[in-house]
Amino acid sequence: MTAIYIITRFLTFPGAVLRSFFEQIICRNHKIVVEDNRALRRDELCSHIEHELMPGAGTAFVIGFVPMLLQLLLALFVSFIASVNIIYLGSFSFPMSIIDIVCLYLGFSLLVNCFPSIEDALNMAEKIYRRETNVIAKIILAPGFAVMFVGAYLERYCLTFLSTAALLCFFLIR
Amino acid sequence: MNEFDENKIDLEEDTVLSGEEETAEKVSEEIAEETVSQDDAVKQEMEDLRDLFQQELDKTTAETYLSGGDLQDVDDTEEEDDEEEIDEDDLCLCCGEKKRDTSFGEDYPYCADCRRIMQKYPIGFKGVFMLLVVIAMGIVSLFFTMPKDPVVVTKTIDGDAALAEKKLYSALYNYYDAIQAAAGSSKVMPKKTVAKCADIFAQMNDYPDAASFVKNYLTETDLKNPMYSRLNEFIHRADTITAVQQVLSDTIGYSGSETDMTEVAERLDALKADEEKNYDPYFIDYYKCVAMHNLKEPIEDQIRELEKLNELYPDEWIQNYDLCAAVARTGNVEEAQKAFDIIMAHNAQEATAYAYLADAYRYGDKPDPDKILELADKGFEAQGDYNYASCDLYRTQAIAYLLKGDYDKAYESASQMYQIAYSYSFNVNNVFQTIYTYALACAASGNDEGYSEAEGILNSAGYDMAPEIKMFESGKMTIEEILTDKDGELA
Repeated sequence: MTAIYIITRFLTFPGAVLRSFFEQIICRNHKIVVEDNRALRRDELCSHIEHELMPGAGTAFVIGFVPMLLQLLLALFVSFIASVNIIYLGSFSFPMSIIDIVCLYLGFSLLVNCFPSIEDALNMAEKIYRRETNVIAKIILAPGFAVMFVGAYLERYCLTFLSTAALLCFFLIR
Repeated sequence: MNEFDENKIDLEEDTVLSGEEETAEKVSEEIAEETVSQDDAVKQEMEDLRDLFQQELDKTTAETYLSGGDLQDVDDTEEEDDEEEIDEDDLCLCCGEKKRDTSFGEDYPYCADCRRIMQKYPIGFKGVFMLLVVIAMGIVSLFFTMPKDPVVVTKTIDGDAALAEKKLYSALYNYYDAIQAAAGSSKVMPKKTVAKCADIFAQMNDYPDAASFVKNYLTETDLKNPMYSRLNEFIHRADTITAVQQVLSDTIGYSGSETDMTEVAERLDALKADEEKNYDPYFIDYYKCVAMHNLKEPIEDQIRELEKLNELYPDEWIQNYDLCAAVARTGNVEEAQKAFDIIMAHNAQEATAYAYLADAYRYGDKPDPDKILELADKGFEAQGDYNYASCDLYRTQAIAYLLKGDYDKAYESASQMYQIAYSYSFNVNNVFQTIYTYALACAASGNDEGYSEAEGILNSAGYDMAPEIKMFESGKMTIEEILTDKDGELA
């Protein structure tokens, strides 16, 4: 499974590189020790950076949520016009549509790599749902946490890649 | 003792003292000389040692250099010797030199310096570069590939919304506007919109238009694409309809009821046998029912054949339109309502169906003009901004007012109907019924001018006024008798 995971990360390398880039920015911002910042490594942390676990609930949430949000916004920005042209209207003209196809690929790769690593997700669960954390914070962070927690496992088992590809095909032929 | 003696004694004492001083000076000079000689010896010895160490160091350095080793190692050896006191387990995992900073926890692996450095781990170039690429591509797509005319997108969205509500006519017009906007601006055809438009034409049984749409806006390469290959079926169905209509034109033509239905059926069945053309059997069967209607076959036979179509082709729905009209003429509200519901499930804007359902209340045991008026109003509401069914609905309204005895309002509605038909050069559904209804409303309301105009139009086309209307004028028939006669000219 790890081999397939690594292959999917390499196939979607723009998203993998950006994901680790955003994680590092957050770590730097929160003065978290980064042990290895290679995005395309041949292990389970491919597309993520190796860093010390976040100490608080807020920071643990931020390192999962902010890169995910940025990836989603960037994916929307880069692939919106391409999606309208190719997926919604079915407009295709050579050579301009090559730009659309590249944009779609970039959006796809960003979406596939938007979730945190399982380590970060587990740390997030531990930090958010420990006794010391405020109940209101637990409630407010719950939806985002649930999405990221499930997404982390989906991503680990390459299901984000498969589901995004399936959705793309579905809307393309619809 | 005098003063002289005292001086003498002082002098003697001074002489003795000066002799002692001289001796002391001599001793100290000797000692100093000895000390100097000792210092020189130590100094010399130190210098000798220094030279020796320097020679040894130079020798070792030279040997290390010649053996290819790191000169730093020579210096490090001393430092390592100093750090031998730190346990190896306590050394920083990163630098391996300094002691771990245990203030962050007993097992914390890094020293304070390494921790500081790793907190500011240098950001790689790849991430920044990729971010710039993504932003640049987004901007490029905004400027270069965005649809030139936003109407293409907005009208397609409107069309989709209308389609979701089963408003086929609204959807069709919106899609058509989008396609025209694309053709006028970017020349890049929104193929999915074209396909949706063709789908709607097909849903409304207008396969010839669907096929011409597909042929006009899509290339042969597009039609080989799996996404659009289903549209080839529309072209095939349009070919079937063309062949069937040719048969009807050859057999029935304009002569109507003089043609034998058996001959028409045989000619149509012959099309089914043509394996080369592989005509769609549904349309052959469907047009048999159309032929039966045109040849005024018994209504029960028409209904039976149409119901058979429903059983044979459950995915097709357009025959319910004819079924609703046929069943309504028998006054069977329940069955007409069933067919009507099927039509509405496919196209909520099919306002003409309201006019057909209204006929069920007209031909029932007791005509119900209020219900007819209600259905006409619902029909107007259903068609919205599109007046494709207005002619039929105004006719229904006029009939309801005639049945109610409100002839002025009947004339008003009939007049509206007549104007619409006139604007379409009388190229409307049930053209004779339209003109006869107008003539009857004119006759009932005493509008001789309108009646003459209707009669003139019929005469100019080689037809006479319906005999029922002439009988009404002569007082031999009532309006209710005319309008509820299932086999009459106004039916």
